[in-house]
Amino acid sequence: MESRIWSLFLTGLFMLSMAGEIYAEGKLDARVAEKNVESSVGDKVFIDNTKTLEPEIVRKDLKESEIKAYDFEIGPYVGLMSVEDFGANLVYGVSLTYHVTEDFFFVANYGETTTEESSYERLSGSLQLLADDQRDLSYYNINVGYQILPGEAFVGRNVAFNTALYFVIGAGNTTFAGDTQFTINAGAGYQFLALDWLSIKIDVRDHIFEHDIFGEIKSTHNLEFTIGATLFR
Amino acid sequence: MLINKILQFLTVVLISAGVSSFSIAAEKRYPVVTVASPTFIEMRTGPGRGYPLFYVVERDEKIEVLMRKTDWFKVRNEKGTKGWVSRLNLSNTLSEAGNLVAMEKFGLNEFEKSKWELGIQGGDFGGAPLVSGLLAYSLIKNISVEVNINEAVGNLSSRIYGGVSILNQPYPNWRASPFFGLGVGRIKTKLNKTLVSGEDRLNGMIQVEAGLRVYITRRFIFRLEYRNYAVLTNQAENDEIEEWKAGFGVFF
Repeated sequence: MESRIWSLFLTGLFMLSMAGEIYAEGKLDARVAEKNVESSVGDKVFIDNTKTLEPEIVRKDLKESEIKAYDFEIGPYVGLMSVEDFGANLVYGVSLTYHVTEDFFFVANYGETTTEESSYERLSGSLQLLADDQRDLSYYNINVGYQILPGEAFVGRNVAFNTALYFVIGAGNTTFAGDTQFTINAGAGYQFLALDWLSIKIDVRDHIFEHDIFGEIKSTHNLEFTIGATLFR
Repeated sequence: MLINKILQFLTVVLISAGVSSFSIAAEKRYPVVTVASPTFIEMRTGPGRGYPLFYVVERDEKIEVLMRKTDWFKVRNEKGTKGWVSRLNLSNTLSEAGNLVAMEKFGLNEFEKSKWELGIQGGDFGGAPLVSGLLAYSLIKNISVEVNINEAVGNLSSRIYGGVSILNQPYPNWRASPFFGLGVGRIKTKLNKTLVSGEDRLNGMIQVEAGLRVYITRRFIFRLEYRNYAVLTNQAENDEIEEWKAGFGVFF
């Protein structure tokens, strides 16, 4: 648990250090260089002290590689995950997003939660369906996403932030109760771009997988609600 | 738990990235372009066609190009107004050398020339649902090398497998380009202990494959492929497993 707090603290520190970047955008500068122009007429030498405008840079074509691209997003998230029959518990995860176009993106997630006893286990007293380490659930998934409803959210009269609603669908695997299960997941989310390189995401997903913990194969819906921060790189 | 290690790693990476961006921030200089006559360019509030237009940069004005998100570029004019312009709009500007800015546009041509491809696929591996990721590098026009990792989870066992294959594309300039390949790999089989008894296995395998890469748009391709694996066991016969998968890839 301490390492998680430590991680959150370090993330905060990082965001502070990134704040420097937004103040760093300089103004267009054409520099005025002082130059002595010498010319001679006959045997007399004139020294002209007028200032000449001389750009210090070499004129060149624009290369796309000179422009920094921010197509990747990476960041942690935290929330609640309801694992069917095993309670709703704190979930932690990380996500990595790659924006292919303004609409489409790929996103990969990895998350972990620890489930609690099912009602059956609690009512029966001492009976345990799962060992302690089998109560940990972890999942990963890879998804295709589509951004819809891009827009602006206004805070007061003059300040606006870009926002977008998105849908994702994908597949992955979930490890739970000592077993790995193929998992389909789908959901939607809201992205709030606080800065060009920093966003806040609220995300709702349904993880659908089968398990046979209760003796027969059962398809379960496991809803996850998270909030996260991502950094564009 | 694994997540703690990932989070710690992530914060270290992010902090170093943040510190480095802070230290170089002081003297950052952005490329400058001039809006060419007879056109003007339009600024939007965000990187997408759905965000509103709010400003027009007139011809002969100079703008700095600050950053890019997909096909949109954030620019700033001399008055300090910032906004996003499309790739098409930016190609109506002149570079410092006075030439029209030719932004590379991803299309079929780049699809043929692209070196790297990253993809995700889903499918069926001998009856079990499959999740797969791949990275491919094209050596020459027709030949590429591909590394892939897969996880297939069935009722009785789950398998993690991966390998390297060599692919041949006989018609690389077709929009739908078929490919054929041969590969080697390793497969790890974990048994579902509540249903079957036995030990987890690690085996080598070889495979033949055939598939189709179809260029869709921008950097996107659709992939469909079939593989036939021979799992090299120490029993009398090798296991033969068929795999079908389909998915998307991006090239760069």
